[in-house]
Amino acid sequence: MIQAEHLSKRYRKKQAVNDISFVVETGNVTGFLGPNGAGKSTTMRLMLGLDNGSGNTVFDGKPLHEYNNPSEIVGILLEAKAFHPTRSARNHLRVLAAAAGVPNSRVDEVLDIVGLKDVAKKKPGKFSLGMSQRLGIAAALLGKPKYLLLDEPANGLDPEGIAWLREFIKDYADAGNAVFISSHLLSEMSQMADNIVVIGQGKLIASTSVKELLSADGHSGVFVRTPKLSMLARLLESTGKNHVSEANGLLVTGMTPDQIGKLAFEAGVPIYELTARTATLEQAFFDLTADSQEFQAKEGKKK
Amino acid sequence: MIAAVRSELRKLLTVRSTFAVLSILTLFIAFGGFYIEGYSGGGVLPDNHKLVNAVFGGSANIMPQMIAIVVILLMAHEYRYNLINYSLTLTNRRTKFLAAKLMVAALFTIVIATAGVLLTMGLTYLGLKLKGTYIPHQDLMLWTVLWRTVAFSLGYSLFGLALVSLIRNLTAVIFILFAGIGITETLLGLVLKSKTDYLPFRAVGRLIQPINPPGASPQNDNPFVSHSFGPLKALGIFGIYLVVLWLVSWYLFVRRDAS
Repeated sequence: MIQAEHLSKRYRKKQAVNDISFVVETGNVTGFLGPNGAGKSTTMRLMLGLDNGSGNTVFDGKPLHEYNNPSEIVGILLEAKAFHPTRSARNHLRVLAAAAGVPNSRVDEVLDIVGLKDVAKKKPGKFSLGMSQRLGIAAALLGKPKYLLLDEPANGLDPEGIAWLREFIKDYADAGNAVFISSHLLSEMSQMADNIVVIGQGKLIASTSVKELLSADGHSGVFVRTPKLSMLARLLESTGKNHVSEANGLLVTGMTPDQIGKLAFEAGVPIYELTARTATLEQAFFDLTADSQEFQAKEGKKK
Repeated sequence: MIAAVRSELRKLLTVRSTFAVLSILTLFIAFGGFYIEGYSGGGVLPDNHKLVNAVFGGSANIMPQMIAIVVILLMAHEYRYNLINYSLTLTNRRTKFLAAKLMVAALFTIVIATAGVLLTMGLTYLGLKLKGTYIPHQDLMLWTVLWRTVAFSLGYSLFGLALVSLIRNLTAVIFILFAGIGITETLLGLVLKSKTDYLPFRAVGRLIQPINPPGASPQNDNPFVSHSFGPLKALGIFGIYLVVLWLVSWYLFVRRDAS
């Protein structure tokens, strides 16, 4: 388990990370979400001791620097293009393998895992963003670490690459490891993450399971379409259930479709449609970070 | 620590720039040693210290800069290509990483400077022989030439490595090391006058001052070269500056953000 406690970082006038605490559980994929400039990368760097801030992060109870071989504990991908452009992909990994105390044979293994074996001798300066990401993931895997910290690993990957990454990350966590991953691809995140940490303007907004996050979101509920809207609304109010008016119907929370159907039937209210709705991670994310968007386009603002 | 050193060695030996700079250095040595000092005779008839001075008056002036460029690139690439994030998470102590860098830089400098000295002497001798120039008995002073050239080269490369650890910008470090310091020492010379010899690069320049035959006037009137004390004291003076710079670099390296 990774425990990040009271992480804070200040850049002159800006508080980039403000007293953030959360847990990354073993066996799970934990998504790390936040708008641009929210402090996600800085938080990851603080966790690894790369940036000098306050707070501490322990990996299975110990700070990273207390382990003899940190590469066995955590593998990182912080930037896709973190390599010398004219050093071959294989040599890049061999340099890192030497520092990690890992044999060269492991280099070929990880190149095979990420599908870069055929371009191992090529200079990564000419790699596409997706190939660079794969090389970064290979570097993270070198030491067979228990934890992976990946910052936007899906950026630039093609659909096949994204599908591969999703399955790989889920399998990696299922094998008793943990993956802490930031991404702006919310649909992907909803498919792979078990837990979610959301930050905005450097502050922790939510740290919960995806299931709880979605069920607690205002967009979840049961949509009911009926010609007798006001009658159904009064009926629901009498039972103390919340509802929101929508076009041609009501969104009811706190009741199952069966319960609503039975209630309406007994009251003689005709029902044309009864649909269970689950909020998407995107809706939940926008709801959570509505007040924390630091950089917004003028049009298309989410309210 | 061994893992960190091995990794640094691989970094050094798997980039094109290392071999490009070494190739240029070899060409300089070949041209300077074989042709200028040897084949063309340099306009001066060989004396007993011809081969020694081919190093001190020739290659020892260019070799340290070229070696320093390779060493500076070894650290500058960490920041330019964000390799520093990997480097500092693969080791459990920043000091260990910096020490490995220092050791590899020193090893590389010693090997290349030694090879450079031997190559210069050999090519100068070959140039003189091919031209048919009479070569009097040569007092090679091999150990003196080697330790002084290696020490001078080490001074340059380790000074450069400390600077790049501190400044993290390749262009700035190259400018400071190869131009900024010279300009500053010249300007300070106007103020300090006789104390100028205690400036770092003026002092360390004493190490590669050409050897003069007994009774001859100094061949080198280079104002940057100190004449007021011997090479060991010169090395000690430079060493103090180097140690202080390294202490500052190390202190900040372990405390600052990684990039």
